[in-house]
Amino acid sequence: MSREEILSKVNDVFHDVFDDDSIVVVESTTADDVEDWDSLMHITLISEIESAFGMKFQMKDVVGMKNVGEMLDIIEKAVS
Amino acid sequence: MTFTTLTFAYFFIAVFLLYYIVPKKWQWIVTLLASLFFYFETGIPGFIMMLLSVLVSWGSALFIEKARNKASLIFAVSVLIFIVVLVLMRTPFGSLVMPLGLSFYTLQCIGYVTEVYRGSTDAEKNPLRVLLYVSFFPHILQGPFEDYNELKSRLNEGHDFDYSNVCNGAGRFALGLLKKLVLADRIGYVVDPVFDNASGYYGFTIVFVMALYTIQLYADFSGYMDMAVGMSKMLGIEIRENFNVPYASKSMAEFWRRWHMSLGLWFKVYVFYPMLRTKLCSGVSFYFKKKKNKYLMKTLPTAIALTVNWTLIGLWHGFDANYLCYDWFCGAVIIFSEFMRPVYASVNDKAPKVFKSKFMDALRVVRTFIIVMFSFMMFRPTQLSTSFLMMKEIFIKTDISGCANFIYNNIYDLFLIMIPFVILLVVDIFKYREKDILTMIHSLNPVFRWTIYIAVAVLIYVCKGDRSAAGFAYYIF
Repeated sequence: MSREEILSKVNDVFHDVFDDDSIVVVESTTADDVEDWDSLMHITLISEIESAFGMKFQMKDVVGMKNVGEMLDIIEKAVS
Repeated sequence: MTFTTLTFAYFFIAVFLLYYIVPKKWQWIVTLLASLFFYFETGIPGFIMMLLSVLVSWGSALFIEKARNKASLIFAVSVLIFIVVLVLMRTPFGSLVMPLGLSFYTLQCIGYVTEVYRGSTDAEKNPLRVLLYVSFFPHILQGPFEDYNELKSRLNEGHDFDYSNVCNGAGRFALGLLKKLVLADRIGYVVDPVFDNASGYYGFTIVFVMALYTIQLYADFSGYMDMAVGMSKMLGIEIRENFNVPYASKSMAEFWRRWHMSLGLWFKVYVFYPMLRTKLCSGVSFYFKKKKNKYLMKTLPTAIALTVNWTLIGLWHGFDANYLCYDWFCGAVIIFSEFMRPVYASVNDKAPKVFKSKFMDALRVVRTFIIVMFSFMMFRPTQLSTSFLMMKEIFIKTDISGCANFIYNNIYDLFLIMIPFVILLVVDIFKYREKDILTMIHSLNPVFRWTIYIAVAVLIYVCKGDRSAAGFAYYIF
């Protein structure tokens, strides 16, 4: 799966979790850029991404990722 | 030897001079020796317990790294040891030797071992480095909690003398002194007698006392943090901020993101997130997802995790019923808001423009302040019965004349707190607008700048209370 494909699928998960199809996330997107992306939504997002890609984030990644780009790095590594 | 005493001032001046005299590679040893001396002063049993805690965290972290196949077992045993010690110290026997700052440094130790277990940081081979991380004198008694990964380099690297950093740090320390010695201690004179004997006070008097106490606790705790951050800055070491204008919060959840921030972050990283990822929470989430109930899929696991989180914060504060009630109350308000989120969102969507105005935001701030004030009614009295008595007495009668008398009888202390209160307000308004007033003062022309410094020093000297023996409100933890 290419990075672009992963990003596109991640975007779909964002639309689903935040109930907002207008969200467009890019590599540099952070929690500050998306309304309602607080700690509670973060975990929901993580769980949804895990089931979408069939992988598991480690706790250090859950609390440590700084932006969508870092999220993509972890997914890319897990699905490759 | 609290931060507000003259003995501490001599101690810190000596440490400061030595720190910048020795070669940079030895600075961390000066900080370590100073920290050990500072903590030794609090009592030998507590000092030995702190050393043992560091030994357990240093040793278990090394074991975890060397024996990854047994990492879970070693991690569980070490965390269990910390919890058992914390619990034992809360018993009547333990309270006799309860080391100062135990609750704070224990969380630091657990955090360090957890980070090594998770693989986010390497185990430190030198036990003295771990000892410095835990015992660093500005933060050992009341925090802020620091991540080992973030703090280690700042503690261990050498730092050049930076005049502007030192001035900024000294200014921050002075601000903390002002908050603690004048504002918090003077308010203490006014409110303590009411908490000691709550019967006989009613209506407005209780509300007035609670409003004062809400300011006192903030001045006391954030004053301590100002001193801790200021001193660290003077040594060239940046530590975490613990407060970000908490009384400007529009909701309880926001309040807890602005109040005692490092505690909230610690529990989020080590309790709340892992709890949400347990089989229980993910199972509940999965069940409602299958039922296509998105609302319960999100809110129910969150409510479960928040309940555990706030119960543990309550137990961390102490085994007294009032702390548990206080923390459950905070948690309940946040959980309730989570359940009501879609309702609020739909009301906000349909509401007229005035509901989205700054005026409404101001009302939300006032509402949150009142909720916080109410919650502190469970936090401050040592007996829950006193809390309930005060809650009842608010509604028995309004007692405006009693309140006027109360103000009249305490007019001297109330008058003295006015200037520091206005200073606190101005500092926080600037901070809310993301401007640092201390940096602005530092950039003023020397005549103005020194006039301000001298005025603040005179203000502290003239208006300070004489409660140095009373210590800080959070020392009891």
